[in-house]
Amino acid sequence: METTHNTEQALEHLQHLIDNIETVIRGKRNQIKFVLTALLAKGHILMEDNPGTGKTVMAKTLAQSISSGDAYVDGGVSFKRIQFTPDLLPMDLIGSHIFDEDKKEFIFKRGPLFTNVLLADEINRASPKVQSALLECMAENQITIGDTTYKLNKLFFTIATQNPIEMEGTYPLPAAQLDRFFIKIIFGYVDEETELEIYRNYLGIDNNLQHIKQVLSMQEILDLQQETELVFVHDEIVKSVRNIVWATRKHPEIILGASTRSGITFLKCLKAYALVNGRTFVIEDDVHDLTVPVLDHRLIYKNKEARVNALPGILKAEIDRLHKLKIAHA
Amino acid sequence: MLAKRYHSLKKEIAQYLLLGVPTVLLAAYAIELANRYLALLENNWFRQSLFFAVGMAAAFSIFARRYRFTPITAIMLVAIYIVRQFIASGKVGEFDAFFWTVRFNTYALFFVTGWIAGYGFSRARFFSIAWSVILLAAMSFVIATLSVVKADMIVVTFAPMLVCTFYIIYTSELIRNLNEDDPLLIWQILKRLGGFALVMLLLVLGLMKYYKPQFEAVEKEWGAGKKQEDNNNPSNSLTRKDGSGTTTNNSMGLSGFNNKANKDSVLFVAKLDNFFPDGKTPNPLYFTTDYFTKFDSETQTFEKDSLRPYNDLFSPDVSQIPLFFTKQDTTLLAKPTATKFRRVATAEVYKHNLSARLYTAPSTGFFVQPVSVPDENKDIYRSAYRAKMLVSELNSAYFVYNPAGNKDLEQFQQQRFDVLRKSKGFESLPRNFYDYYTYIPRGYDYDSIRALANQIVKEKGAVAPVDKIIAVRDYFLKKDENGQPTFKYSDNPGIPGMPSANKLTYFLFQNKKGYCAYYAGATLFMLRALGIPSRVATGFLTVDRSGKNPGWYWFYEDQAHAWVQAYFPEYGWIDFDTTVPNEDQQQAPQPDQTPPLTSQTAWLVANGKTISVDTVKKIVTMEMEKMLYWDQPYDFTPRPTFRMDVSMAKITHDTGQVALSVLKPGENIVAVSYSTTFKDIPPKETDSSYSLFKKFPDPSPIDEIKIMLSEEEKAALQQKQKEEQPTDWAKVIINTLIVSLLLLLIVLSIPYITFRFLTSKAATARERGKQVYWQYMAVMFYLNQMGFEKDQLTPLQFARTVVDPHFGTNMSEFVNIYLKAKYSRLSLSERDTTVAQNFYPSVFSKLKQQLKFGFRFSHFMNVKRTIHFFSKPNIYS
Repeated sequence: METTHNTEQALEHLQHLIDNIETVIRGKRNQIKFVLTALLAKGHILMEDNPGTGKTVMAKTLAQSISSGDAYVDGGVSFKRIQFTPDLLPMDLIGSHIFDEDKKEFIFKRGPLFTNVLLADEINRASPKVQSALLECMAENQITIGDTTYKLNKLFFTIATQNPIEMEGTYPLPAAQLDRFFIKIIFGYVDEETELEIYRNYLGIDNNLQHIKQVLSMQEILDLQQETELVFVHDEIVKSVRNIVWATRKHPEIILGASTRSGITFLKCLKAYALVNGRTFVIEDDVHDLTVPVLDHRLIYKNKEARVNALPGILKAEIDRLHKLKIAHA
Repeated sequence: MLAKRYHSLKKEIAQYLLLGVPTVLLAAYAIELANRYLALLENNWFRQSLFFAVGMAAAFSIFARRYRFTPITAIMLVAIYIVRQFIASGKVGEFDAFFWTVRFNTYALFFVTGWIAGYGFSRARFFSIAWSVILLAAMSFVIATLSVVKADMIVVTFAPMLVCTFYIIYTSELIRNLNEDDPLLIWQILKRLGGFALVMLLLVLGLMKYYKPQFEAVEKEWGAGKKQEDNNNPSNSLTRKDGSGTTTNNSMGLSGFNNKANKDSVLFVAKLDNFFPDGKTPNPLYFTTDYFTKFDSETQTFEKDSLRPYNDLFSPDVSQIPLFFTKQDTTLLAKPTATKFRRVATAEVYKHNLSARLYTAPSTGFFVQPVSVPDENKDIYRSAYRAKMLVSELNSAYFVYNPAGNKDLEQFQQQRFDVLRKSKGFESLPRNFYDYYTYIPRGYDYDSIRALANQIVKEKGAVAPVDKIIAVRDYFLKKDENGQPTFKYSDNPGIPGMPSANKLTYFLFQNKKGYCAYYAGATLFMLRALGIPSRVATGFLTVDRSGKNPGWYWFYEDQAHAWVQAYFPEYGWIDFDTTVPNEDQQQAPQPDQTPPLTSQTAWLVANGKTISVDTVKKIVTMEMEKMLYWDQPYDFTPRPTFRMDVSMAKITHDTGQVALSVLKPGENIVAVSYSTTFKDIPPKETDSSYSLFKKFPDPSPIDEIKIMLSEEEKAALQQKQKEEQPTDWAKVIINTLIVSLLLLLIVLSIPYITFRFLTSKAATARERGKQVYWQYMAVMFYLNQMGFEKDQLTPLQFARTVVDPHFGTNMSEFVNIYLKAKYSRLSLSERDTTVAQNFYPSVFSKLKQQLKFGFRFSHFMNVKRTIHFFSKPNIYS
């Protein structure tokens, strides 16, 4: 793919976007990249960690930096947030028909799903019914109520957060539904230095959040999503995706390996990740960075130890294979 | 590591088949060997091997399932103990109990050994190596104890051991790293084992082929060295091998057994012109090679003594004398130690297996002349020589081997005893001579021998020395009241229970069994105790077994012998053999075969430089330098021209027979004539060399011309001979050290060579992408050697997080370019090239600045890192 002027500009904007978000979320450059990767791959992201690590702020900042603040105005991006609770009902998400006194008819009151960026906070606290309602929307990008099918927005990106499963009052997401999330990342605490910096400067950070600027327009994001498909993937990288997926199926410590759909998702994510990193081709670093976030939550392990060791082991072998490849063409 | 946590059936099966079965087979072989030597094992190797196998299998199956070693082994040992106690108490009778517990203990021992081996193989990582070392040590031990070391045997014993060692190490590692999820598991294993077998086969064959000469050298060295060590050595044959055949030993010990493994091997054939006064009956004489005059009471070994007084031993190295040349010891003729009944006899010795160096002749030799072996016999006899010696007419081999009923011989015996009885007393002998040859060590043991000798003589009432000797001989031949001989012949007489006990007194007073060395040794001391000067002679006993060819004698290896010579003033050394006949082994006497064609007497042997060669008239002329005429040497100065008629002559060169045309003027030759023409011209005392020369016909008939080697050829031959000389161990060690140092150097320089290879690749790569690749490889390799391993990181991470912060380089950008070249279809931009150019050569200087030389040097030699750099990672680790 030749790097066109447009792409170059879009890539530049992407970098701006990352920088922009980083003014608010300190020390989370990698996580920001993953979020953008999911966005560009037309997928959704699941963030898991303890409360207070900055998941919500991240989602908010992202939404804000790609929206003009006003929804539906000059291609701006709308942002909605839903706090999931055990008593939440599906219609709270989708919306419902309410009776319009003036027109004497039921009109459809759109729920918060009809947005561009949706922050589904603490998704595993809602009942499975609600979870599945959301995930169906995510998969099909449309909502059917009664006879009517409502299309969701062209740009529909869900950032879901969840508390660690061990915590009380949670409904763990079933594996099939986890599969809908392209990427699952563990947000994690920032390092000591950054944390100190945050404490010193929390007012400034707050201020930054208030005044975050739009750096990418909706159109640009859609364009970038198009560009993603054009990122060049070397055949050896495709092979290594195949190898990793196969290895998870054959691994003695993994009960359920990755599906073919996972592999395709993996490829999509690789392309998007390359773009996020300012490249128009995928390199082994991308494979290295993405394998765990993309595949880990789709696998079922025999035990906890396997969860820690199995996938990194597979990845290590594959990275080594890639590293030892002799250059194929000049 | 995870994959190994749980028990795996495939691995267990692989252990049984690949490690267990070969180990059990090997152990069975070892146990079988042990059974041959240890009576305790009761020759029950099959059952013992079975116990070993069961122990091993049990250990495999239990430890493959991750049980703990200590408690289970403890339980097992307790069980064994209880069963043992039960057997000990349950069996009736003391003997039975002892017998059964011993047997049980043996089985238990093998079971436990198998058990431990099984445990080691399935658990302890380095056990396979330990096990191999044990095997090798055991084999070395077995080889060290062997009496006859042969190169083939070293090969046969060590090669399987070596292969086995490698096999066990390789297989245990293979099983350890088995990936049992591999669908082609069996094929993979077979493939690897097949490859391994092939490599091993090639390796061993190559080694064996390459080292065969060395092995043979070791064989020789070992053979010689062992015999020289001391008499604690269990084998003590009278003969040994030197470089060119069998020869006699340098010392004669008194323990162990007389190895007659090769008794059927013909050593040499000799023609001896020694006949009884009737002129028809051959009088065989023992062939002497050396004398033992000294006895080392520490090691109880008879030794040669080069400082013995009145040494009359003539012992030239025959192989060093050119054909037809002679070597004489005229001092022996000038100052004979005896004068009466002496005459000169001649012998021709045709060597088959006998060492080419060895000179052996009866009595006192003084002349040797290597002669050519007749063509018809060349395949049997390797070399031959003519010997002259002074023999006593009183001497004969018929001292013990007295042919019964031969009147002439019996008469001869009596006659010679009568003569010897008249011998002068020993007072006439020089003091030092008499003292030397009657010396006995002090001590109780020798006193008892002295007492015995005196008693024997007293019983017989013998006065004359020869009667004393006969009395001693009769003592050994005496029969007890049951008509059984008191002394018996035995090749393996055994040794006294106390290691330090005197073997001669043990032989004389207790055991009364022995081979020739015992009889000769005991006789020597008894004679010396009686004041008769005597020495032990070694060589070959001569048996006249054929009436067809009188004067011809065959010598087999079992005729190697030791006997006593006693000195009689005026008559000299006379042989006395007191060894009793071997009654147990009255095998059919070795047949005497057809003797080799007698080579004619070389009347004339002349050497000099060729002047002309006429191939048509068959006339050769030469400048005669020296001449041996009727065994008398003559010199010529100035050198006369000698015309030779070579029409009947055989021309030989070092390589064999050649045509006359090969002979060129200027070459040195030796001309030999057997012609009767010369027989008719006997030299007179008054003849000078020139007066003789004038009597020769012109041209003189010559039967053989040998072209002498030129200087270069001689040098080459000497070189060759040098190589054949015993291995210089210091040299071997130094060479080994040098070679291993070189090898070490090569191994240590592998990283550097690899690095140079990578940088040169980077320098010569044409395409940019390839160039970047090789540059990247070179940098990564260098960093890897320096201890900065990429390990689990991706290249970019490695550059960004390890290299750049550490060295202040710009590697991450370079890696970006490398990755771009590797994974994208984009061509490298100008900017990329500049970055790469800025980075690549300068990175090394940057690294060098920051790392000390010593650090770099020591790290660069780390071959392990190099291997690590190029090796595949283990997926599950």
